[in-house]
Amino acid sequence: MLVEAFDFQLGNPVHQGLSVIGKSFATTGGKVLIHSPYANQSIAAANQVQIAPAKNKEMRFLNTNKEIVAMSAGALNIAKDNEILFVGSRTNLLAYGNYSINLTLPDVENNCDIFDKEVSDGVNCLSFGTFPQIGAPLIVAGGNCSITGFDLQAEERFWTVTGDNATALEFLDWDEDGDDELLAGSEDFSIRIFKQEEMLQDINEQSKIQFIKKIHKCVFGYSLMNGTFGVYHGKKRLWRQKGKDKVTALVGVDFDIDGQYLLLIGYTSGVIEARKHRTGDLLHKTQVESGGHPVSNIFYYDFRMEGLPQVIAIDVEGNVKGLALTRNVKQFQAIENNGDELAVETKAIDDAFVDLNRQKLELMSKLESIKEKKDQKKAQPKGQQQQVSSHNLPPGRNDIRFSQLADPNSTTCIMTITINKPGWIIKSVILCNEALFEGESFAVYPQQSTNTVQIPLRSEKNQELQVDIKVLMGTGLNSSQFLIHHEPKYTFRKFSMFKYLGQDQKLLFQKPESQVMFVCERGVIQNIVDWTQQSFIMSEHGDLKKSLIQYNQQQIILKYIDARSFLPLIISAMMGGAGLQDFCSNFLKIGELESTCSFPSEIKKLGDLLALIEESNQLKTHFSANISENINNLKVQIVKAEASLMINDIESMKKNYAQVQQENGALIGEYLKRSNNHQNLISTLKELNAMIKNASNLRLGNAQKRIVAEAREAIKTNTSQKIATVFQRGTARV
Amino acid sequence: MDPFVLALSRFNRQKFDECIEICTQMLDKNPYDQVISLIFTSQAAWLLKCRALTKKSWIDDLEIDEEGVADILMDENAINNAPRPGTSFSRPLSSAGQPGGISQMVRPMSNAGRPITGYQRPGTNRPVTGSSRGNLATALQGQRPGTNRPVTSGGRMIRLGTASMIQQGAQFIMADKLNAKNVAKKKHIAKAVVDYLIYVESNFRRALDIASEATSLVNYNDWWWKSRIGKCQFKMGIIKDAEKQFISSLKTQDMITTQIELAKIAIKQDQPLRAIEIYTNAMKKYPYETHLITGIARIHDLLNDPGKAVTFYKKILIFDNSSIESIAQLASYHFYTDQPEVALRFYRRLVQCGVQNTELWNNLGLCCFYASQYDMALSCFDRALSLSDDTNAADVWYNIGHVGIGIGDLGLAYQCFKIAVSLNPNHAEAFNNLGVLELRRGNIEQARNNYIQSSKIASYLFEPCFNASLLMLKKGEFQESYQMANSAIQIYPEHADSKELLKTLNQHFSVM
Repeated sequence: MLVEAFDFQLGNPVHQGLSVIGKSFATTGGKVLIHSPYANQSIAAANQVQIAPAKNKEMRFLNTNKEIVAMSAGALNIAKDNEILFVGSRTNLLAYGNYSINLTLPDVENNCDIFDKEVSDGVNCLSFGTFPQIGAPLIVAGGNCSITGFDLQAEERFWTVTGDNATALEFLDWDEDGDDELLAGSEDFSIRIFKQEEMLQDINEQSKIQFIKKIHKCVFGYSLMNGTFGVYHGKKRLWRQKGKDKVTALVGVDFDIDGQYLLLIGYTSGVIEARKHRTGDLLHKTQVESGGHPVSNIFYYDFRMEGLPQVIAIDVEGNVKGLALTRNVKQFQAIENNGDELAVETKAIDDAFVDLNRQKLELMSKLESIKEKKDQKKAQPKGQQQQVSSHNLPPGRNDIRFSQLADPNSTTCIMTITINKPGWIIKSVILCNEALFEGESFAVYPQQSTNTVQIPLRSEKNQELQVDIKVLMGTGLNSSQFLIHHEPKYTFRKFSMFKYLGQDQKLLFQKPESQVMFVCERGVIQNIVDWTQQSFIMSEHGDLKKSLIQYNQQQIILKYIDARSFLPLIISAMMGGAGLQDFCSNFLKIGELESTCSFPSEIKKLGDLLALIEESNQLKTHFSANISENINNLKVQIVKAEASLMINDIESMKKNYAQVQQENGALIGEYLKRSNNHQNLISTLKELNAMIKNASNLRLGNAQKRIVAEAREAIKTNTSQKIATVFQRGTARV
Repeated sequence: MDPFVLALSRFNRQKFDECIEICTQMLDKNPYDQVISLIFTSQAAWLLKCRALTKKSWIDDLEIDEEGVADILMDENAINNAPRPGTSFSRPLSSAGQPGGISQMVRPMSNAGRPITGYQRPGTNRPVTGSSRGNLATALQGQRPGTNRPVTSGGRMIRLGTASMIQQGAQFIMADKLNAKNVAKKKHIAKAVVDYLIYVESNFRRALDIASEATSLVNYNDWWWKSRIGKCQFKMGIIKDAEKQFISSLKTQDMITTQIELAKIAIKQDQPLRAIEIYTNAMKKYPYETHLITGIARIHDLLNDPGKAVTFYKKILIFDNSSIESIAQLASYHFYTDQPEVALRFYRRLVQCGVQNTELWNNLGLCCFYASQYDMALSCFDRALSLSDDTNAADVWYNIGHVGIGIGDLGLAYQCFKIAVSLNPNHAEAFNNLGVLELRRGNIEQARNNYIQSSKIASYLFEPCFNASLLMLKKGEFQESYQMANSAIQIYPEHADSKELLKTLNQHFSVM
């Protein structure tokens, strides 16, 4: 249970998500506000725990002069006990550095910057944690397609690529091996798990990932931009739900209530919900403040320094509410008296009751429909009844056919549903899948009586999906009788968007010029055959010499050369190749995989990208110099104008202020130029990072790690030739 | 003799004007085209002239870094705007409870609201807090005519630059017509041109363009270019980028000047402790470098921690026993800690070093007076007066006034203060003392006017406020007295007499 413990006002608005709590401070966005109730007790030892909540709250502001995009706190310096505040900021009109992580005032007490590091890939989110292999704690910044980790000396100790913008980062022991892994959620709807640079798993979701929060060990909660939230236990999703309001804050609480931990969710409506981690049952619901302002952030932290953490929620108006956690008093006593058994028993009884109740309802509704039918039959004339009954036997499972075929002309995959039972037609079809359809479901009502329905499906990503299909069948369009055929787990194959090309059709398309090759054992070849059958839609089996084409002109040719055990995949775009190889390798259960590839078009593009980056970087310094020149002129003009005003020289004051206006216009112009340039730079970097990701996905295990590290190295030294070699051969070393 | 050899010789002997003249003559004969340089000698002459011009107007910009009013008023470099005392220049340590700290009672404040130091430097005038910040009128107002007033525009650098330009007459390099890329390609000429642009023309914008081209040409491996870029960016106010350049420059080549520039950035960002850290780290490598020690000492001074500063000033004297700044600082420290005899010895050392100015003789006079050598005191003041001009005569007269009070010659004192006020109508301390003297003469109304005038001029003085408060209490004007006492307490929170006064006032109010 959550019991209200304390509340107070910061008196200042708090930007969404931009607050952090640490040993001596909770802070907010815009300008950084530091609220440290214990500071005036002992300034030097603000981290000491023995102090009771003080009456005099001390607040102060930090000026970063920049738009703050992310914040975090943690003890980066192992030698010292004090925590450091990390502020990730974006450039604003007056600021100079583009996208820098300003590790500002880490030492809030001593008024010092520990470091101020420019991160070229940008900062979307910050997290603090330790990679066991590196040893030292790192501050990890998620940017455009990349994740970067810094240590205390501002040295880059970790760098890897992820898909699209990283939006959420969390450290937790995902594979339960005792060491923490890094979880990164990104804008391409994926949660990726990294062990060092190596990607362990890629979990697909239905929208942009908003938050990932650790609940307990390998259990973590997540929320998406579309309002969905849920809990994963390792790979397995335990539950998910979608609320009416948007989620604005999320935190996991490893406080055991009935053997379940909690996930706390804050909404735009100001409501905070506590849900059980295993089932998602609502346990408690409250509000930060009756005004109903959106929740800005929720923490689970020992703010009162009493040894037991509290839940602290902040809304955007700066209202803070603290909630203490207690176990339900009644249940608590019950457990104490009779031990766990009773609780389990009562729970079992409860569950059984709920189950029985549901069954009862189902039976009742069935009974009702049968009664209705009976009434109808009675009403029909006798002769007709005979006729109908002859073909009234409902179509069986075998009579309904599902088939899929990709259609090159409409860039969709057409699903055909047919009934092979004379006299029966399809009244409507309902398909449910959260990824395939917007709004999760799709219904088709044929206008004419037909026994075949064609439904175009389109999947943006190559992924395997489970589609829930319900087919409503009847004897005629107007007949009120119908039967439902339910196909709960129809598999939408991973590469449904690809089409098999026979020998004759092959001529129509150019043979792709790129290819990937890897060596594999003889034994796994059967696996590959199985895999192609499971992932592609193929009309015939056997020969592995296949050619498939996807509609956006991406071609994949699988060739199997028996004698040398080489498997070249010929793919015209690296993107498609990456997904293919990745899945293939997962399926084959190979831990380590080296491969060589050649992507002539992509490599050519790479050179262009690097040239663009170089150019943008040079322009950047030029623009910021222009801006600062403008600012200096502006300042001088303002002083001159004010000075003229003081001696009542209105004429020159006017003149000076006119110049101020002019200078201001120029300043804004320069700013726009720089911001455009910056946007270009960012998108180019993003493309580059995406390329590295794809190249790394073509390998597995150590080879994957190595490719990321070497590509980063090559980018730093700016040798495009080297990057190309890394991409093609997996390493630049001979 | 070949004119070029002659010019080179003049350059080596630091006779820059003559060198420039010879070079100009050579260039008149064979004009040097910046783009095509066919004739070697004309290129050499051009380069030599460029160097000579730069050397001529070279200033040690590590020391001279004064901000203009605009920068002071619109300064947003500081990150923490309510820092802990002692961690920021805008919140120096209060004197009480500081070992070696000097009470505000004893040590006067400069118009910037800092205890005055023994050595005037650019940059020490930066207003600390309160009234003069954020208000143009007070920021522009100088306390003494001709001193202290901050420059209107972007710092002293620009003025020096333009001054030398006028002297030169025609422009040597048309900065705006330079093509940064072409110049950067000619490595050695580029360095000369950049220095010329920085030190002669103060055109940091163009210098930055050339330097950033040049640094990318050498693959970012030349520390000199990086430190020059940093310097230009610092001057243009791109502090954060400058910091990065300096750090990167230090990685390529560790230089003391770069370390000092890096520390200056920390100072500009109002992070004194970080600046000290930079200095201390640099000292590990260059333990005998007095510039670094001086840097630390100055920061302690600015943080109102003279006790610590003095230890560093003493250290400097071990390595450089004629360091004027250290001697002066030590002298003033000893004077204000009630050891005029010791201070006298330091000031004598300054005289031996060849310093001859009003301030020194004035200080000598004061030391002599407090060391009870009255005969010497007056002759010192005599000398100070004979050396003085409009800018500092008022101070000398004010001090003579003090001597007058000290020897009980109130008539002399009154006259002296009157002269001080006539020389500098903004001399707040003199007004305050005049007020006291008027009160002794029984001119209550005049005394009161003097106090009020004094507190109006100098918001950093607590004495006139306290005096006025006391006077009004005696006259029975409790409300005004209360206000004045409060402002005294604000300026000097530990002032015991003001506290006492407030207590009595409170009693009066509660009785009423």
